[in-house]
Amino acid sequence: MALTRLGPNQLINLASNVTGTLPAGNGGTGSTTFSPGKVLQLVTAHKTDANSLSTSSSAADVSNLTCAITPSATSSYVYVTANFVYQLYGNTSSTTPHGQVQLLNNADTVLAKTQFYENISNNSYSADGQGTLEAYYNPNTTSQISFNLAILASAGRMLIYGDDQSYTTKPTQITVMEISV
Amino acid sequence: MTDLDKMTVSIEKLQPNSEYTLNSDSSTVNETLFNSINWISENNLTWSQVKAEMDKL
Repeated sequence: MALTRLGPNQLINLASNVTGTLPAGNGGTGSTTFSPGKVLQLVTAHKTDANSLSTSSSAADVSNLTCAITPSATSSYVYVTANFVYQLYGNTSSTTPHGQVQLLNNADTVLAKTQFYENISNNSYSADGQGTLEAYYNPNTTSQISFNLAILASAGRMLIYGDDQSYTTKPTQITVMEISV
Repeated sequence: MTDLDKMTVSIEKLQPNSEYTLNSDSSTVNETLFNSINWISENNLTWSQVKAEMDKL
């Protein structure tokens, strides 16, 4: 192969002076030489009512918050992320209000969960916070699947914020992506 | 303390350790909201009892 060294101000006409095939650079030429994961679709939903609260140690669905997706292939994975804002309140019954937030699918499988615990000096105090739950798995279906949150309170009161039409807008959301692997 | 806090505190005072869930579409606390409570434990309270307790807070 003949090589030509170019000076600092010399140009090459790519249309007429280059022959052969350029090798692929590091990382290849897009999807023709490697197989990256691809986001095939994305759906999102937010809690549309003001709030949901629980004083129960049994998990209960958060209302008006369901995110549904229909995978295009059984080999696809779904990546689910839920962002939420919560409040733990002593409710005059506990100085250690604590509870759980769970991410579930429509089969009521708990995909992820987390516990929040507050130690407050007065049982009529409250504490707000925010959290994220994520899941990534192969649902192995092309039927619609959906996701929602559930809460429970082991002591005091657990509340999830939604749109209250004044102070909060979309504080609690679920986003689902279909990933081709 | 919000009206919602007053309602749940009043329920706790009148009927300790009550277990329930509640979904609210606004900040308005009234009989309609009270009647929408999903009781998990037994409930013997009425809105008038709860409202009377709320008014003391």
